[in-house]
Amino acid sequence: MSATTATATSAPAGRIEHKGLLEVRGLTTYFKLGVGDVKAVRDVSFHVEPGESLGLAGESGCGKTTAALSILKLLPENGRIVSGEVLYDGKNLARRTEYGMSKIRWKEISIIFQGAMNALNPVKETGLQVAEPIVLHEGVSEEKALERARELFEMVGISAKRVMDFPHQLSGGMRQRAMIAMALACNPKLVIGDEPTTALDVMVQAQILDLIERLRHELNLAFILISHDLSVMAETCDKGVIMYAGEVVESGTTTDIFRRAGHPYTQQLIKSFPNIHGTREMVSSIPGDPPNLLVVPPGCTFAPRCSERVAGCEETHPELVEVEPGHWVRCVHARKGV
Amino acid sequence: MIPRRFRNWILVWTPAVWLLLELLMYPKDTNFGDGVGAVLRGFTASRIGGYPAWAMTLLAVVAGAAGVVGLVRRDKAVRFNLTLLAEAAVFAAWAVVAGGGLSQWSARANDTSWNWAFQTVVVALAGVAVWMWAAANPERAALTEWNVHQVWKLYRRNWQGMVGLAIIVIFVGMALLAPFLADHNLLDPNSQLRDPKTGQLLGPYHPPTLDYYNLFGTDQVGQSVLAQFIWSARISLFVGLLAAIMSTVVGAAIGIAAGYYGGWQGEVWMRLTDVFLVLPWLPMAMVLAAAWGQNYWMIIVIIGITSWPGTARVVRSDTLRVRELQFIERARAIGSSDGHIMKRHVLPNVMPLIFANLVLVVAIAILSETTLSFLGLGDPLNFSWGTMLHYAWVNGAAGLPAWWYLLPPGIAIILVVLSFTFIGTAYEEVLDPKLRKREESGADNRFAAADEAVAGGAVS
Repeated sequence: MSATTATATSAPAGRIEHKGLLEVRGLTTYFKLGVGDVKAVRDVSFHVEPGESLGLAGESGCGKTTAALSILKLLPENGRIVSGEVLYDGKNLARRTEYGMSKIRWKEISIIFQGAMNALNPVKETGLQVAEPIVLHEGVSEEKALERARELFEMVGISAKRVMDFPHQLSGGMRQRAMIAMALACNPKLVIGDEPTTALDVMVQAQILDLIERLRHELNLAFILISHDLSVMAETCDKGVIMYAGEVVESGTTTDIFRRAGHPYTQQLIKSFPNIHGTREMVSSIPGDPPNLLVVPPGCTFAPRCSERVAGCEETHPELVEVEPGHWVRCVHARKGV
Repeated sequence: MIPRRFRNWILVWTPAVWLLLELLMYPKDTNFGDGVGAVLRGFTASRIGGYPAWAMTLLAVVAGAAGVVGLVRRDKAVRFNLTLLAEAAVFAAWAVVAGGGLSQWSARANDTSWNWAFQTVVVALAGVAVWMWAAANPERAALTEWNVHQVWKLYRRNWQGMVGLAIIVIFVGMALLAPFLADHNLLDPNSQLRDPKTGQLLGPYHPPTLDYYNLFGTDQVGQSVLAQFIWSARISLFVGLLAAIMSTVVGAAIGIAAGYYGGWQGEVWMRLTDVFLVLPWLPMAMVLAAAWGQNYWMIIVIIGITSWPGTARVVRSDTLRVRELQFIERARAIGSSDGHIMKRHVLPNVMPLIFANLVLVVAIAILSETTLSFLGLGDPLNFSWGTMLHYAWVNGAAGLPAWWYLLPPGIAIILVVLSFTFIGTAYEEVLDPKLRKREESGADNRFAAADEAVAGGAVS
């Protein structure tokens, strides 16, 4: 009885205590297909502190984009959050209505979409599209919003003169910059970048990453970067989460993950990128394919492709183990203090 | 700074629109024999601008609301919004002074003698409003101007389109200038055509002579076919254009809604479309015309509400394509409502198709009006080309054969319909680079053109 009163006084009514700016707790998202549910994301947890950047990495189809879209409840019609909580500012976003979400989107959390080529309307001036969220969320006139779009254009390094250009008149890098400007339009506290540098060449990719980094420090943004490119993650993120087949296999600071990778999958993922400093050796690839998520195997999902498989791996599902403070690994080999 | 070409547009189009509105309502009974004074008096006749009071009131409310909203939101274009408010005030004054129609509350009951002045002020203020808008948004004005110029540049290269446009310009010009080209009194059932030299009645079915009003001969009661032909152009083109616009608006709205929503809502709209598509058009239109009465406004409504299914299907199929594009998802993620997405993202993407379709529907609408009129369901008080053919047919002009009575309206209909089809296909070609030849597809880069201009200036 006294315990309940204590919690009630420490937290205002309806406010849920959680870590950091955003905490995802046990998120599970399924897609309904005719033959059954695709268990795309299972029991995923992570949190982001204000001003911190977090990388979500893994190969195609591992559920990183689904996890990110679940945060903003932007899932396709057949997708649904089965269980888990998305806690932001003391509120559980997973339980929010569409209307409630529209108050959060862009004003609090915004997203840089994958493929700027297609995320811009080809028959509408780019500046007006960047200004669109401002018009929608702040109720100002289009002209006022356009003024802000000009500032945003300058902020992301495009000349303000180009606001009235159509997307086809901008280069790929400029379009991506415009998408970033759009994400920043309503001064959000958290930005999710869904593969913001994919489909750009290496030079432009570096520029965009520098830009994101600069803006993050200037505006004190928290940032979630979704990428299949570990090098991008290593360069920009404070913390990393490695996903495989819909679950977190390893999480920790970027240094933890790259210097002391605990999971065989992470180790092989790192090995499959060329290293310009070490000895010249062939880049290895991971044999096999990720499992079909319609029927999730009972044991470790990575076991069939794992080089360090032992008896029992395919039968028992390993739990996340904290091998050192803040560094979690989901593997039978993982021991505390390894 | 307003782009120079845009400024010239305003200076040309404002008087052009004024003249169009004046000519549409120009008194039909002006006696040009009285000299220049009579012609000028025609432009200030009380008939001009005789619109219903509710329309004036509606426009006053719309313009006023737009201006107030703009001012409240503190738009940059303050002068533009103030012009809108002035426009609203003029409309309100017009409604109060002229009144008439539905309004019985008019302060000075139905004083229509100042209509021409109100109309002139309204058109002038509209020109000022466009000017103010362009001054506040020079970039958008430049872009609009550039786009129109590009479309025109591509369109000009298509000879079919240019031929079609020329024919339409001639016929529209003839229709607008009808009061100056033919005396409307000649359409009165009691005014038979006389030989200008002898003063004798020409009599029924007199073949064409070189005398102006007898260029196309006389009809079954000895009236001028030329006068009928010229005044008919008005009704045929007016009905065709308005009915096509109405049918396109209905079809586009239903097509976009059906395509965007999909699911059961889309199904309901599409089954409705199918019903209208499979219903035999002619019997239904005839029944509606018989039931709703015969005047050309009703004909417009009948054609408008029966000929939209084709447009709806075409627009829906394009909407289905646009709906799946990623920027629609992006717009939804931003928090746009369905209405906003349909209006701001889907509509601009299907707009070219709607416009190309509109031009083709005009041709169909003109043909439909002709069909109804030919069957005797047209407006008995106003001649159209279809009505002319109807009278020619029932009075045995075909058997005589009085070819001068049948051919002019027939050929005019063929030419107009053909021209609209030409314009439609030419415009489609402008929109779709795949239909163009390679060397023709080079739309200039806006910046390259600007650079060239700068470079050229430096050299000279």
